[in-house]
Amino acid sequence: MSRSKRWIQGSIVGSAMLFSGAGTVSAEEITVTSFGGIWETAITNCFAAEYEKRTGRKANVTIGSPAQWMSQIEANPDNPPIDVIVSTQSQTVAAGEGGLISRAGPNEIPNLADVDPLFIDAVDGWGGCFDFGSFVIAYNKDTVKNPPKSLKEFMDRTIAGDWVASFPSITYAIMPDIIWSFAELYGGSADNVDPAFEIFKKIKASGNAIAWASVTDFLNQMSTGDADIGMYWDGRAYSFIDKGNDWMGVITPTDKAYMSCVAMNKSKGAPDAAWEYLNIVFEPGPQSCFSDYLNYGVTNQKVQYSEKMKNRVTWPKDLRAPSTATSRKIAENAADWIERWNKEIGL
Amino acid sequence: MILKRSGITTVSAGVVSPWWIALTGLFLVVFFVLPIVNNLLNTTELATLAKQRPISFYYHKLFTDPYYIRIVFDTVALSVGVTVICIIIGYPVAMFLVRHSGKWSGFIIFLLIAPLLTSIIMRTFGWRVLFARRGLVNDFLIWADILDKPFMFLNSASSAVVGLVHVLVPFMVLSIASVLRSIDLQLEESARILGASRVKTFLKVTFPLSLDGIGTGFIIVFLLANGSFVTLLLLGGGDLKTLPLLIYQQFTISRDFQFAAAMSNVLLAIAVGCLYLQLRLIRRKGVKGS
Amino acid sequence: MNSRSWFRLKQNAPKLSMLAYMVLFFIFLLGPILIVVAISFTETEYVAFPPKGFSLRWYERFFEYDAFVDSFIVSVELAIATAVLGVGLGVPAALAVTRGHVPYANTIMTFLLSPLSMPLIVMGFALLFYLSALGFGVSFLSLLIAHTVISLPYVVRTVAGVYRGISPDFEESAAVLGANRLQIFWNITLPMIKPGIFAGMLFAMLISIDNLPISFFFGSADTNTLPVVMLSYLEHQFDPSIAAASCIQLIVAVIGLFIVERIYGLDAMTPAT
Repeated sequence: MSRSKRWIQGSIVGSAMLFSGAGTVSAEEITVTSFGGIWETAITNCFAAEYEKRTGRKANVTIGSPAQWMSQIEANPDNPPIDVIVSTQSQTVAAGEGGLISRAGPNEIPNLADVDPLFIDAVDGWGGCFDFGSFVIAYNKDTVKNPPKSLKEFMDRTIAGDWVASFPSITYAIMPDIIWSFAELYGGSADNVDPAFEIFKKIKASGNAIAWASVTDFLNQMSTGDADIGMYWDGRAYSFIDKGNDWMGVITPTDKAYMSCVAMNKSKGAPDAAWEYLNIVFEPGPQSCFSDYLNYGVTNQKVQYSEKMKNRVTWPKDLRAPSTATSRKIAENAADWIERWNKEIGL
Repeated sequence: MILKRSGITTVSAGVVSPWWIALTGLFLVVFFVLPIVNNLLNTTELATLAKQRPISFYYHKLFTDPYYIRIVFDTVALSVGVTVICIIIGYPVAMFLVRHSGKWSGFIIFLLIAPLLTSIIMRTFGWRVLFARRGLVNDFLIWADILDKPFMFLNSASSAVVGLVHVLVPFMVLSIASVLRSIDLQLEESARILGASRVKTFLKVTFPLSLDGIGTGFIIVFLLANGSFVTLLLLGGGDLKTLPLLIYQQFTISRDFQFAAAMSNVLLAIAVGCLYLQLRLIRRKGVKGS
Repeated sequence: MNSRSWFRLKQNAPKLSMLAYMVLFFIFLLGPILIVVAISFTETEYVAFPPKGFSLRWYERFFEYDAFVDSFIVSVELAIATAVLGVGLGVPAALAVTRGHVPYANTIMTFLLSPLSMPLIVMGFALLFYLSALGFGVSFLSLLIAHTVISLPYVVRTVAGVYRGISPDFEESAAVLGANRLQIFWNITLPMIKPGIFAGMLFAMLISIDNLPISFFFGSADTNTLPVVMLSYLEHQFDPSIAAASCIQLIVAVIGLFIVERIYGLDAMTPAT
C-alpha cells in the first residue's frame, strides 16, 4: 500500500511539474488586476497602455474581485498568479498584515510622495489609494421634486414615506463601513454603532426602503421605478447621467458623505517591474485619465482635473473618511456587525 | 439490491471490472477528500483582520443562538420546499415528455435544456425585470384586479423560491423522464387488462417504478438548492438568509474564515444526511422491487 | 407510434389540459430568457424592458471586448473536457458499483456522490490552496480537475439510475451464450445505458458551464470563464452587453444541441418506449 501511495505521490508531483510551466507568463510580462466593465477600460487605457509605451513590456489586465485575488496570492505566495492587486481599504490592511503584499513608500513608488496623506493613512501605509468615491444621494428628478439636502433629512423623509429609498444590502462589501459612517453621523463611533442600528431599524419598519445587492442593481431599480431615491456612489451616478439619463440627480449631502477609496499594491512574490507600473498608477496624468473614465476623484494632489470633473469631485475634507484606527476597528467588528444587521435589520 | 439476486447466477463480477471503482475512488480521494481535509487544517493562517476565535465558539453559536438555529432550519426548509415544488411541477412534464410527446420529444428536451445553457446571472436578471415593482407580473396582477397596488416581489423569499425552482426544475424533469422511459409499458398494460383503473394503474404501477427517478432528481435538486447563493443573493435580497449566503458574506466581506468553516461543516452535514437517507430509501425499494 | 399519440391528443380532453399545462410550464421556463433576449437588442445604453428600438450594438460590444470572447472560449473548452473526463471516470465506476458485486456497494456509492454535498464556494477555496500546493496553480488543468470533481456525481447518479432500471437478464443471457466481458459491455450494456451516459454528459457540461463559485477562485487572464467575467462586469457596469453575452452563449449552445440532435437525437437521452 505504501509503495503504491508513493507511486501516486510521485506521479502527481511529476504531472504537476509538467503542467505548472504551462500557465506562467514570461518574466517580461506582468499581470495586473481590475474590476470588470468601464473599470477595465480605464485601467487598460490609462495605466497598462502607458506602462507598455514606456517600458516596451506587456501588462496583462485580468478582471475579477479582490477576495478572489487575495486567495490566489495566498495559495501561491512564491509565484503569485497576479503581480498587482486592486483592493478596498480593509482588504489592503488585511493583505498587508497577512504578508500578501510588499510594503510601499516613496522609495518604491516615487509618486506616492504627492499623494494626499489622508489616502496613505486610509490603508495604514500599505501603499496608498489611487482613487476615491463618496457615497451620495441619487434621486429621480421626475418623482422627487424636492430632494433632501442632508443625510439626516433623507433618512427622516424616508421614514415619513416621501419616497421609496434604496440602500445597499448587507451582502455589499462596504456595508460595515457604511454602518460606521451612520453611527458617527448620529453621534456614535466605531465603538458604539447603536445609533446606526437605531436609525436603520426605523427605516426598515417604515416599509419605504428596499435594498440593492450590487451597484448595477441600484440603477436597475431606479430605471424600473422600484426606487425613487437611494444611496449610491457619486462616480457611478455621474457616469449613468452622462449616458443620457438626465432624469437622475445627485445630491452631495451637507452632513458629510462617507468616503471610500481603492488601493493598488504589489504582491509579495511579484517582480520589481510591478513598481514601475504602480508609479504610473500614482502619476497625475494617468490618474486624471482614469478620473475622466470613471467620474471618481483621484489621489495625487498635482492632478489637473478636466472641466467636467472639477464640479464633480467632492474634496476629501468635506467627506467622512475613517482613520486608520477606525478602519481597523471596522474590519475587526465587521463579522459582529453583519450578524447584528442580519438579526435586527435584514434589509 | 439487485446484485444479491443476480449474484447467484452468471456474470460473476459484473460487466465492468470493480477495479474501475478504485480508479475513480482514487481520483476523488486525491482531488476531493484531501483538499477538504487540507482546508480544515489550514483555515487559521489566512490574512484577515477579523477577531480570531476558536471554531467551537461558532459551533456553540450555530446550535444555541435561536437566530442561527432559525437559519439552519430555513436552509433545510428552503431546499425541501424547492425540491417538492420541482417534483410537483416536473412530474407531469416528465410524464408528458415520455408518454405523449411523440415526435416532439426531442424538441421538448431541447426547450428544457436551453434555459440551463444561459448564465444563471442572466436568468435571475430576467426575473428581476419581470418581478419589478412596475414589471410585467405586477402590471398583470393589477390589470386582473388581483392586486390593487404593486407587490414587492423582489428581495423577498417568494421571488427567491420562484428563481430557484426555475433554475432547478429541468434537472428534476430529466431525472424522472430518464427512469420513466425505462419502465416496461407492458406492466401498465397488464394492470389495465386486469381491470385496474387509469389512476390505480398509475398509483400502483407507474409511480412506484418511477421513484428512482424522483430519488435522483431529489438528490440533485435538494443539494443544488442547499448550496446555492447566486439566486438568493440576486433575488432574495436580505429577506431570506441561508447558510450559503452567510458563508459568502464571510468570504467576501468580513473574512471570518473560522465562522465560514463552521457553517460549511454544518451545511455539509445536512447534505450528507440527505444523501444517506435517500440512498437508504433506494436500497429498501430496490430490494422490494426486484 | 408518434403520429398516433399526436392524433389522440386532439381527441382527448385530459390530454388537452395536459397540453395546456405544458404550454404554461414552458412560458414559465422560457419567459425570463426571452426577456433577456429582447433586452439584448435594445438601442439604449441601459437595460430597458420593453427594449427601445433595435440594434446590434451590444453584440458588437461583446466581440470587441476581449475578456468576453476569451472567457467564452475557455468556458466551452472546459465544459467539453469536463464532460469527457467525467464520463471516462464516472461510467465504469457507476456500472461496477451498481452490479459489480463489490462489498459495501452502498457506502461506495455514497462516496462517489459525496462531492454533490459540498458547498461549492468551500470546494473552490479548498481546491485552490490544495492544487496550488501541488504545483498546478491557477491553470486550465486545475479548473478541469475541479469541475470534474463536482460533475462526476451527476454522471454516476444518472448512469446508475438507468442501469439499475435495466434487467440483468440481458447481460446474463449473453454471458450464458459465451460472450466475454468486453463483448457484453459493448454490444449489450452500452447501447442500453447510452441515454444515461448522454444525460450525465449533458449534466456535467451544464454544471461546468454555469459554475461560478469554483471558477471564481481559478480565474486569471488565461482561465477566466464567462460567468466569472460576467459577474465582474455586471457588478461594475450597467449595460445590455451582459444580455448579449448570454444570448451568444445560448446561440452557441443551441447550435451544439442541434448538432447532437442531428447525429444522435436528443430523444435518445431516455430510451424509446
